[in-house]
Amino acid sequence: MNEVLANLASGLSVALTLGNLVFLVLGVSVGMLVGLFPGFGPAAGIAILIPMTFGLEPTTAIILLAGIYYGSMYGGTITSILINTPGESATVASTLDGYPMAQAGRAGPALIMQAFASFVGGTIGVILICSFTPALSRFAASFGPSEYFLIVFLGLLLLATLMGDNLLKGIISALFGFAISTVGVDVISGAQRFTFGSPELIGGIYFVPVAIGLFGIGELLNCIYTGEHRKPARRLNVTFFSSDFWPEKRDYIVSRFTFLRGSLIGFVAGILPGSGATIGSILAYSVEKRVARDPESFGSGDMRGLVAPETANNAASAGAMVPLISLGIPGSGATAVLLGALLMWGLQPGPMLIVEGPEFVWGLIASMYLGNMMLVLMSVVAIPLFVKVLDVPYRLVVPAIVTLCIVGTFALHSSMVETWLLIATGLVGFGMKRFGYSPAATVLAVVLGGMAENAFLQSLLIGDGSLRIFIERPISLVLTLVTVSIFAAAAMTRLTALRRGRRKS
Amino acid sequence: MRFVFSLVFLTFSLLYTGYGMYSLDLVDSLGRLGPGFFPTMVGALLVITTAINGVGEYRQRQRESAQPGAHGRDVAATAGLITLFLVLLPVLGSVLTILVFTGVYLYRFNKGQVVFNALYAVVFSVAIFALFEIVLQAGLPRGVLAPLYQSFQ
Repeated sequence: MNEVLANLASGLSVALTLGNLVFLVLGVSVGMLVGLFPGFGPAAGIAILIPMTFGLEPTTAIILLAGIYYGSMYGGTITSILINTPGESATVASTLDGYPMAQAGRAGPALIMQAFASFVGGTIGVILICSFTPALSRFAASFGPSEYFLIVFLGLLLLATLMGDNLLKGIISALFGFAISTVGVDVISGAQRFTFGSPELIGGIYFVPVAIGLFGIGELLNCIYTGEHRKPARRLNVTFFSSDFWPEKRDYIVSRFTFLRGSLIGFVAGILPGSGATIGSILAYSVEKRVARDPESFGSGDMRGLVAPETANNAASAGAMVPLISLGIPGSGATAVLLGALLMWGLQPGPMLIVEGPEFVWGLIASMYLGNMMLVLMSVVAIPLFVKVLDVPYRLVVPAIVTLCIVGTFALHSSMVETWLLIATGLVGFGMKRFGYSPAATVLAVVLGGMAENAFLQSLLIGDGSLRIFIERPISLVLTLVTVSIFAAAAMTRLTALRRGRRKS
Repeated sequence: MRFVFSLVFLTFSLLYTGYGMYSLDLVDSLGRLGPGFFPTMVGALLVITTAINGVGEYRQRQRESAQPGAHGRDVAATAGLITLFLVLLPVLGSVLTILVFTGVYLYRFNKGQVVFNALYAVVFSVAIFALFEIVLQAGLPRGVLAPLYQSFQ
């Protein structure tokens, strides 16, 4: 415990420099704005802003980008509550009770309670990170290539299973990402693969244009397809800072255990690869409804129905940092982009990062704690300002997003090839979004493809070409069994659905 | 469209696998796994999964219907304008390209507000120039304005 407090104190000394604080405020503010715009999630926000962080220290840059990540969870809920439109998939569950509260004239208490719940979830998440990250790092130090390959495989499988509508399309999305990751020079033999003689492809396809294309341009085209740009500005009538703006005492009392339950569920969901904030918030909502004595009140503006998903999605954002930092394995599209950014700055997340770069790890964790404090303050004080942003029609935002995507991608390496790649992946991302594929699985596979290939080949080398290595080591055996169980469960679900469909027809 | 998209994936898979098998060795001269092993494995799995997916989409294609209120034409117009952005970027340079793109986009989608649209396009392109060129020194394409840049340096 003392060691954790000492580490956190050293982290605070890193995060509390003037420069880091300024970029922290900037990051959480941008994150809130990113969360406000439908279809423009944290992954796109982080990816687009990566080129703007080139002149910064790695710690400062990651503090900024992480601020966007968890800040978007706060921002996404504002639209969920006020206009029944989640700015981010992780805030979908917040619409269920948040919007009915706003319709019943309780938008103010709902906004304040979501900010407070997000703060509690984020803070409990950060406290749990302090305990889990060093422990998992120590445990992961015994991992060999077979374990790493299986974790990557399991993460992608969970992402495809839990987040997508269709397991097959999730697997295709991940394989597509692996295929992109094989472009460039093979690190073992030095042979060029799929470069077609282009010197710009020798170094491989960089993940940033792919991420910006899939998440940025793809989501933008999807929003246009659904007519977001044709909608009029949403002028909202919310009375701020009047007596009925603040939550009542009973709002806190009725939700007192919900804060804790939601935070713990969210944190666990965040740690699991492929699960994340969306699953965590939906799960927390379901559990809260199940344990409630009056489940029928959920869906009609129950405060617990808002607090549960809000604590969960923020705790999950913190939880997702645990496998990212200690294993170097992200569990979602947004953390995959964060991992790519870490690698870009020469930081290798994994068991050794906490030993070799403690100031970075603890500085980042401490900044998350500070960021949550800033966000709750901003959420209360600046809510009128953020609500005003909703007055801006989406059609005016489109040129800004497109320009930032293109100019940001070009600024990476001054490469027109990468910029054209951005457009190509943007069109693919639009199709993926429309037809039920998983862009997040593709980005995760692009970022982890090199690592997965090396780990797989090393495993086969150690096992003399035999796949038995994946069941011989105890941890590998457990991971293989979990993987097989997920496949079996998915197949059973599919078969049951098919049988039901046949009976109906 | 759903079926066509699945065909695009299947075609990509076939080309990727075929080219990988043609150009890369599965094992090296010492009998170890070569540079083509992993791509071939990924490619083979891609061909199998995209083929199964394609068959499923083909069977379901008759049930497909356009989403009510869908704006396919607007998507095509935006995608076309984005492509135009990339074509113009090396020729006109970043400032003029952003100005043209923003102006044309707003002319098409924010009709009836000519003065506002023009002002937005000018202010926005100058702001992006200031952020990337002056603050971040990103070295964006200068295009036809290159002599102007040089005269300021």
